[in-house]
Amino acid sequence: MPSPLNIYRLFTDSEYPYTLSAKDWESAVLILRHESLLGRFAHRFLPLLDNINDPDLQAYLRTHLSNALTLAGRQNHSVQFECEEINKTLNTKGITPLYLKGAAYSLLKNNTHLGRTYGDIDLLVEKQQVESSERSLAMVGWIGKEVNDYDEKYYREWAHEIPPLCHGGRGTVADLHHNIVPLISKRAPDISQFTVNRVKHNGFEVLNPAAMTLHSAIHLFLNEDFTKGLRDLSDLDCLFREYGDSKFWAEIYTLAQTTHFEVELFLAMYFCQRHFDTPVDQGTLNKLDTYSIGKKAYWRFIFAAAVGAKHPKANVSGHGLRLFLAYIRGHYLKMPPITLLKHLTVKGWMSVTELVLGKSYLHNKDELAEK
Amino acid sequence: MEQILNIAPFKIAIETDVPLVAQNLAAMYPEDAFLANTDAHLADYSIGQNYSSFFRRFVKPQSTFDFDQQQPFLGQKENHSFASLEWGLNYVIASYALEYVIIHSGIVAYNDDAIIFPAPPGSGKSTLTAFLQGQPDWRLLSDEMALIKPHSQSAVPFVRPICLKNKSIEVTKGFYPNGTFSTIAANTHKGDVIHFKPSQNSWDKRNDEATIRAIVFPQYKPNAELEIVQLNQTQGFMQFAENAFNFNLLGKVGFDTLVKIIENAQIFEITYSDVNDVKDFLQQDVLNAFTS
Repeated sequence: MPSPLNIYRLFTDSEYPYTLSAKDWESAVLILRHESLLGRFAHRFLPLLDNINDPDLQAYLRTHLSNALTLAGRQNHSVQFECEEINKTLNTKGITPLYLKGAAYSLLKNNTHLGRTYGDIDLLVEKQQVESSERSLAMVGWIGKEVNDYDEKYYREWAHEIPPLCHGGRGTVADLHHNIVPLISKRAPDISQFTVNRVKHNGFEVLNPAAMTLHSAIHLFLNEDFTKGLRDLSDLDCLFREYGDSKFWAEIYTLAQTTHFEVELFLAMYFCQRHFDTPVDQGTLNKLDTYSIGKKAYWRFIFAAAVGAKHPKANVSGHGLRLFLAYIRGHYLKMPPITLLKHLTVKGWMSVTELVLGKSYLHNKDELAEK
Repeated sequence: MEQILNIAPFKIAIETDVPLVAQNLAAMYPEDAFLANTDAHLADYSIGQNYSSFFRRFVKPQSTFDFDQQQPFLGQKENHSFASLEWGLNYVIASYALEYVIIHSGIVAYNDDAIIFPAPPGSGKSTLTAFLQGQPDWRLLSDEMALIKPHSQSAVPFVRPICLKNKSIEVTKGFYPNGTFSTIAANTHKGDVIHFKPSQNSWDKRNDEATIRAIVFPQYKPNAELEIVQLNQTQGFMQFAENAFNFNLLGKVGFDTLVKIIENAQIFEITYSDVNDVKDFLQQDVLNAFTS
């Protein structure tokens, strides 16, 4: 039975946590961990834990929130270390990488990084520097993950990044980008428009707040993979809250206009305001809002699941259909129709195979524990 | 159906549609470990072992471990399902239970004085652990991971079925012919695997912490006489730290805890062929000073 638990309200309503039953909390911990948000919630709620009256519940929450925060702290530390290593390696080749998303938040130590956990490290270099960066990183242990021929072709011809690089000793993963949007989408911007006002912080280069936030919006809404959708929307909430002064709103609006990402900026502001009560600039939102009531109803329908919790205990109704539509939309925006048809046929065949034969059928047979 | 299992110090919600798993859980854990899913019992972690797909119930049956709706491992043959669930739980605890410093080792106690066996596979660690935990006044804390409270020498029991591999299966059945054993998981990546239900005394005292008195690196050698080498703290530390599961996640807390244990415990390397010799040595020479 899906719980009536409202995960957004844990972040927006300071009274709400105290109204939850013990079993609600159990679901909340489960869901937040699954959504990679337990660390962020822990950072905010751990100082308030004494207000929970039930001593058993308080102890339960203290254990899980502290552990989530320890893990996040450790990952932050590790991101810092890996970026130093990457900088050292690439700087000798005269390349200065620009760090994106989570790595950037962590290097800046901004509010978004508090309690945040990481999948991989995203960095951007100029397109003509990709090959030499890949080679240099391989020399210090970052090896490209093996991908199947289809995915390899996808990456090399159509994508904005190369297949993930995995460090042989430490297991950390780096994604090397040369653009922030796949080339095949025809929406890849002249990347210099994003990087022109790059910021240098403690020896690391990152995008300036407006470009960083717009990239975060593009990453969420011009995409088909919403596994971390809720966390990504929460990131945007943090970014808008921390950086949203009048200069910021003017810059992000102009950048979205010149690079044609108005829809993505609109969706980010609209859904942040809707779910996280984010104090977005109403004037900017009004300027962006050129869409019909029907269009917005459609977006609300398909994105409710995409930017919500995916755990079965928190599903919104029609969860599967909504995610499927969001998946198709994300692909549609990134690929021309013929390419999309080909892509969905291949991926569709793979997922049918997975459904019927189990995930391991498509994996390298050597990886299988069975003989 | 989700079932909450009290595997002190954790409560684990387990979901499975594989009859073999349910059957082994019932045989391997004591009755009072199965809790009602009520407000009084909050699950710390939620895991499952379910058929990989509808068809994989019937055709080359295969099941997959899942944690938080994710499948960190590939599917396993049906008869490996219970072992897969137990290993999966090890992974979850080692990765997430950061309230403890966790050492990859067997740990048993004579009353409330604990001995740690951090050792690589093949050293006879499981056989030794399986033997000792069933002896009078001895008990199991864990055959796989020692949970240590940070900044202390206190180990918290994590009593679960003991994982026996290959030869140690027959040897243990020889020690305890009336013991309770799980169904066999044949030809896993670790060889043939069977789980063995710990002694009643281990279950009865599963909430009682024990103090770590010695770290013993065992090495089984056929027909060998008992040979004992006492190690100094430096030698012991490096070997000990190599076996720490979550050392890197805990950073300084992990380091300080290991140092505290090393400074307060005796450290031995022993070669043995007869487990009774090991027991006598531990009881008479190592622990006699502590036994009240």
